[in-house]
Parts: sequence; structure tokens; C-alpha cells
Amino acid sequence: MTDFSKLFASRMQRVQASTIREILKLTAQPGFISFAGGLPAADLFPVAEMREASNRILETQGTVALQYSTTEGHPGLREWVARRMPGATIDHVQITSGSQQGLDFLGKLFMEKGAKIAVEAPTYLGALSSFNPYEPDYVSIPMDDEGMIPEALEAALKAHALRLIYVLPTFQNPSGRLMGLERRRVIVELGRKYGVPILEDDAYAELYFDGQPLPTLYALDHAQGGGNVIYSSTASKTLAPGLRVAWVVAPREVIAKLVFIKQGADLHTPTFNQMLVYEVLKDEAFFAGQIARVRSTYQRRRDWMLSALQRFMPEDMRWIVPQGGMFFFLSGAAGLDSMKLLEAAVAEKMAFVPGEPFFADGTGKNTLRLSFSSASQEQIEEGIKRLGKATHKLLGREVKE
Amino acid sequence: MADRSRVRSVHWGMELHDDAFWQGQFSRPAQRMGSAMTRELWKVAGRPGIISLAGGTPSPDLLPVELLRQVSDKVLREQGQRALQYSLTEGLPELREWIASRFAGATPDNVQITTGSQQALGLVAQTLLNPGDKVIVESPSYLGAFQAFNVSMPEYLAAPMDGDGLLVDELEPLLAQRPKFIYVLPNFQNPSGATLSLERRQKLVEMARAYRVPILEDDAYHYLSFDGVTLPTLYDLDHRLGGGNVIHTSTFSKTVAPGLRVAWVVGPKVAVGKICQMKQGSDSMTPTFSQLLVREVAPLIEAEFVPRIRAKYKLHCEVMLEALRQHLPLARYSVPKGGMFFWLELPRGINTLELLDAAVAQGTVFVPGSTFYPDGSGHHTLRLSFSNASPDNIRLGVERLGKAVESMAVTRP
Repeated sequence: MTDFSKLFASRMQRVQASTIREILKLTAQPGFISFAGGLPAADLFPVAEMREASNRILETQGTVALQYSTTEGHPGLREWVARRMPGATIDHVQITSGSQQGLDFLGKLFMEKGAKIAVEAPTYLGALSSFNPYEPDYVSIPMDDEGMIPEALEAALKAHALRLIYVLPTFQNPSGRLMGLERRRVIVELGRKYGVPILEDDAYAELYFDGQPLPTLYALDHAQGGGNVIYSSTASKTLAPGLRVAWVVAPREVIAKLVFIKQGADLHTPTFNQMLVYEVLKDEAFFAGQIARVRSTYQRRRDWMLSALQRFMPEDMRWIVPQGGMFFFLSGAAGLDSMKLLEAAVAEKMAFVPGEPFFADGTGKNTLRLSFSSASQEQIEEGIKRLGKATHKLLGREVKE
Repeated sequence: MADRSRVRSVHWGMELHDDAFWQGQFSRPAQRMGSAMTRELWKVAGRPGIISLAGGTPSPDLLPVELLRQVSDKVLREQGQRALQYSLTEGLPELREWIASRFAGATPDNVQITTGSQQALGLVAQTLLNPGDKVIVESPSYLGAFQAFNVSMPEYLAAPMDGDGLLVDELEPLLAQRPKFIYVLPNFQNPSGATLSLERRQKLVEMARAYRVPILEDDAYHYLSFDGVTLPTLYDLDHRLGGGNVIHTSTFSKTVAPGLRVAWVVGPKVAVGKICQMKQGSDSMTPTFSQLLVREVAPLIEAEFVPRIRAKYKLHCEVMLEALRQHLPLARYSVPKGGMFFWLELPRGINTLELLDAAVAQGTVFVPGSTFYPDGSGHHTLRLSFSNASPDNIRLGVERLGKAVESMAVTRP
């Protein structure tokens, strides 16, 4: 009957099913080891605490939890978020249904055909999925081991009227990089100097393994007067992603628009879920313990993966040892094609995500992302062994044992 | 000047950039966004002492609190890790299956779970609309749909209605303008309360097929008929003719609980597939936990929840009708057969935006009708909700509204 394919909006050309997703459907087979997904470890979810909190909330505030609520979000939760951001009040906080939704809203707010957005190369694939429907032009900024290269950013700021600079400074997905303090200062200053707002995606903020947390770009901007950084973070990596509770902290002019966008998008984030997250977060002792558990578990898994990579991968494969977060990002010799490597790896019953889709400029063909967050020691050993075998075979070299 | 700069530094968000700067950074649809009136209205509606007849929120004593407490406990005990983990963008298989089983010819592949039907409206619009594309909407229509559609910058074609819903006979010239879709709320429409008659449903479905213009059917109020009579959906009527031309959306907000934000789209696979890709970038998925809760209680909806909801809203509607007869003799309205709303037409000289101020002074609020018209007309109309307020408050609220109308009539020269 009706041929919908002829009715779709032109933006849908940039909203497509990914071929990688199709390949990764194969990973559901038994015996398969996948480091492709970026799923938090389910055995770290505070299930018992959530269950207690859910009983408490529905016993005492049931009709509130199940009713419509304000678009801005739960006041207690917004206050909890505001307290952690220098200079912020509850009026600077919008709750979103996952930080994915925050990215979509900022896409709606800042992007349209022809709008230019600076992104890191590589950058978070999910952000590109959020932004693509608004058809912006990406200006990819190259990175070194410390993140976005300031000279390259400044050149882009001079060359283009940028609407927004999108940055993941802390344990970036996919590269695992941590932007150093000096680099953070310079990026914040450049944003201010050229009057281009920075969107700081800080989903992995709490997942430090060792060392002290660095100040957010938001805090550094605040120290200079504030008003130029929009900050996004989430409860998905510390508590649980299945509740979809996250937040944006931003200047009032931005929040005022986000509230309208949120109202049109889904009215509000589920009331009950916001109350659950708040109920668990506000127990400071518990939350500190929870983060400590997540950190030490991921650190252990990082160590296992690091040692396996050193044993099984070719000498010319490069990676940064992540100081937090969930990912290793590997770069091979220039000739390595990670799409072909994925096919070879799938034949060995292991999977990863090729790096290319994380690059808005279509580079990065020799890169790949490995997630260590939910794998066991045995899976990591065996999975990296298989990856090593596939890589050596693809490169026509002798397999390391 | 020194004083001024000190003031500015207190509002630190203003320090570097003023409002004009941000407007310049924003996209065109975002620049236009924002009707302060309704947001102010909700703030006033929450004030102590104000009786709100504005919001279409369910009555609190209909929310199945104890049942959901037990179900939450069970879900977190039996499948806690799954409930708190990411899940598929399409939605949970068991929930999609249950929904598919309610629609003739549908399989789970025809179903997409959304975070409230509000999200469904936005996703459908983004999937189908380029800026300037035309959409047929009922006049008046659901305010939230305009908010969802506006992001995609359509041009609205307003289709007139009467007490039996959309005037299908007047649709032809609008269809000839090649709109991308027709947005219809066939049951107990928000805001008018009108229900599209069976004869018009059939004709609408046939015409839409003939013009190859899909229908977006918003059936949020499906179950809320007072006498239990439910007409076939446009989706079903289209299916009988071969199917493939109706995208249907409905929700658990009116039958289970709105605070869970679980709703769905049922439609042709090609369209649902694209909606799913769109949703992936929008919010990845609807919360796993919320979907599991809804799936647990779904079998009770028709047998237990709906009869209670119907009986309660029917009573509330009767109370409001009686109060309207007593306190608002000037108003014209049809008596709704279901849903949550009375739609009032006042004498043309009364602007209901002005009346709202008078009503706030008397201690009640409603939604001015012009917000529901794509062209901002309908200045003498207003929407009253009877779902949330208690019968006593309904009586008192309507009495206050009556006084507000009188005060306008008196102060009018």
C-alpha cells in the first residue's frame, strides 16, 4: 500500500541501520566472546538497594511516583546535581531520559543544516547518532594522547563560525583518553575567547582507577566567570542504565529552551525512576561505596585486558592504557583494516567495534574499540587471544602464543 | 556601570553571553520555541488554594500503587540485573508481543515502545517531515502534538470538526495539497472530547488510502468510554482494507500510570523500523524497568483497571455537567461520552486568555482554547478537565469559574 520509503524526511538519509550492528547480531551465539558493547557490569548494579528504595517510595509517596511530574525533573535530584557543580543552582539543571536524550536535545537546540560543530576525532558514536538528524556539518579536531589538540581547535575556530564544541574530556568513549589539566584550561579559554559554547559530555566522570579526579571544563569555565560550558552526565555508569536518568547543567538561557524541548519530546523522565535514583544517590556512604566497587572492578578488568593485549597482540599495535572508564582503543599499522579484522575475528568467535564509525571525517580505518567493563578474566584472556590470532592471520604473520 | 556589572556577575550565566548571543547559536525551530503561557499556567495550577481544572492528569486514587509496589519488588527480586540494564531500542520482546496481540494482523515487528506517546508523536514527525511539509490536524487538536511536531517545522492544514469529530467531507481540498500525514485523535479527543463516528472513520480511512496519505492515529483515550462502547480503531479499519496506511499510537498512561512513561507505536514495518532508528539517537530506549512493570500488570488492564477508571470518570463528568448547568449558563458544550474533558464555547466577546486571569483571582484554572488551535483562533473557547479533581473540588472550581465569567461580564464596558 503506502510506500513509506518515499515519504521519509531527507534527514533520514543520515539516520540508517549500521552494518556493524548487523554483524554484531552474530555475537549472540554460544561460545562467542564480545567486547563490542559498552554495557556496564550488571553484577555491580545495586539491585537490593533499588528494591528497598522502590518499596519505600511506593509505600510513602506512591501517588507522586506514578503521576505526571514537572518537565524540569525531580527537585531533590536536581539539587543533588547542582550541589556538585560550582555556581550551579537547581535552575541550571534539566533531568533527561539518559544522557543520550540530553545530546539529542542539544542537537535540536544548536544544530540544523549547515551548522558547524567541532567534534573530537574520534568521538562518541552515539552523539553522532543524536546529532545526525539535525544535519550539521562536523569539523573533526585531531587528538593526541591528551585529547583534542588546541592548535587544531583554534584553527577551526578561526576558519568556521562554530555553533558548539563537543568534548568528552574524561575517559573518552571510544579512545579512553583523559584530557590533562593544562589542556582542559586551554580548551576552556579557547571556547571563551571565540565565544563558542562547549558541550562537555562527562558520562564516565566517576570511573577513575587511580589518581585524583581533574576539574570539569564546567568548573574551569566557572572559575573564569562561567556561562560557556554545557555539562552532561548520568547515573547510567555508576548506578544503572536501565532507569534512564541523566542530567544537563547549563546557563539559564539554555535550560529555558531545553525545558520546552523536553516537554515536546516526552513531557518528563519517568517520575518513579527519578525518585529511585535520588533515593539511592542521596545515601552518601552507600554511593561512595558503590563507586569504589565499580572503580576497583573495572580497574581489575582493565589490568587483565592490558596483560592479555601485551601477550597476544602484534608489536606494532598501539594503545593508551586507560586510567578509567570502560574502553581500550587500539590503532594498528597503517594498512590494517578493522572492518576486515572484525570479519576475521567473528570467524574466531570474538567481536569488537571497528573504530571508523567514531570518526566523523571517515578516517580511523586502522582503529578498534574493546570494552572490558562486563567481561570475566577467562573471557578477556580467551577473547584477546582470539583477537591476536585473527590479527596475525590477517597481517600474514605468525600467531603469538 | 560598576553596579550593573556586579549584578550581572550574580547571574553568572549572563556573564559571558547575553540572550541575543544564545539566540544566534540556536537552530531555527529552537528560536521559535516557547509559549510561556502554558508553562506559567502549570505553575499557578500547583499553588495552594487553586483548584486546577487544567491538566489532563489521572485521578490519584486510580493509580494502582500497592499493586505496583508488589510488582516492582517482584521484578527487582527475580530479574533485577535485567531490569536495571540497557535493553533493545525496539522495546522488550514480551511487551511488544503483548501489544501486537491486541492489533489485527500485527506482529512484534510492527511495534515500537516509546517513552510516553508524546515521544511517539515527535519521532513520527521527525521521520516524515521536512521543513515546510504539510500536516492535516484537527481544529482544535492536542497541544502537546504541536510541541512535538514544531521541531520539524511543518505547515499545518486545519481540518474543521463538529460534535462527531473531524468533518471528513471537507477533507478533500486539504488532501489535494499533498500533506505528509493526517493527525487524528478519534476517541474522546483532547481537547474537544468529540468522538469520531463509525461512518466518518470508514470514510476517512478510505479517503486517506485513495490519496496515499498516511494517518497518525493518537488513541490515548481508547479505553475511557463511560458506557464501555469502543468503536474500531482507524488502524483496524485500514487493516480490513489491506492495511499499511495507519500509524497508531497509544499509551499506558491513562490506564496504568503516567509516571512510568510507557507507550507504543503500531504501524507498517518500514515506518516502525525508521522510527526505531530515530529513537536510537533520541533516548536509546525506554527504561527497561518501566517496561517490565507495565508488562507485569498488562493482563489486569481490561479486566480490573478500566472498569474502575470508567466508573470514576463517568461520575466526575456528571458532577461537572451539573455544576456547569448551575454556574455557567452562558457556556455551550457537548456532553462527552468518555475521556477527561469538557470543551466550552463562551459568548464570542469573552476572551478566555483574559478570563484565565479572572479565574486565577477566583481560585481556579483551566486551559484557554486558543492554545489548541494551529492558527491561534478559538479565543472564546476553553478546556476543563474532570479527571484529577475530586467531585467537591469540581463543583467548587466550576462555581469559581462561573464567578470569573460574571466578573468579566460586569467589568466589560
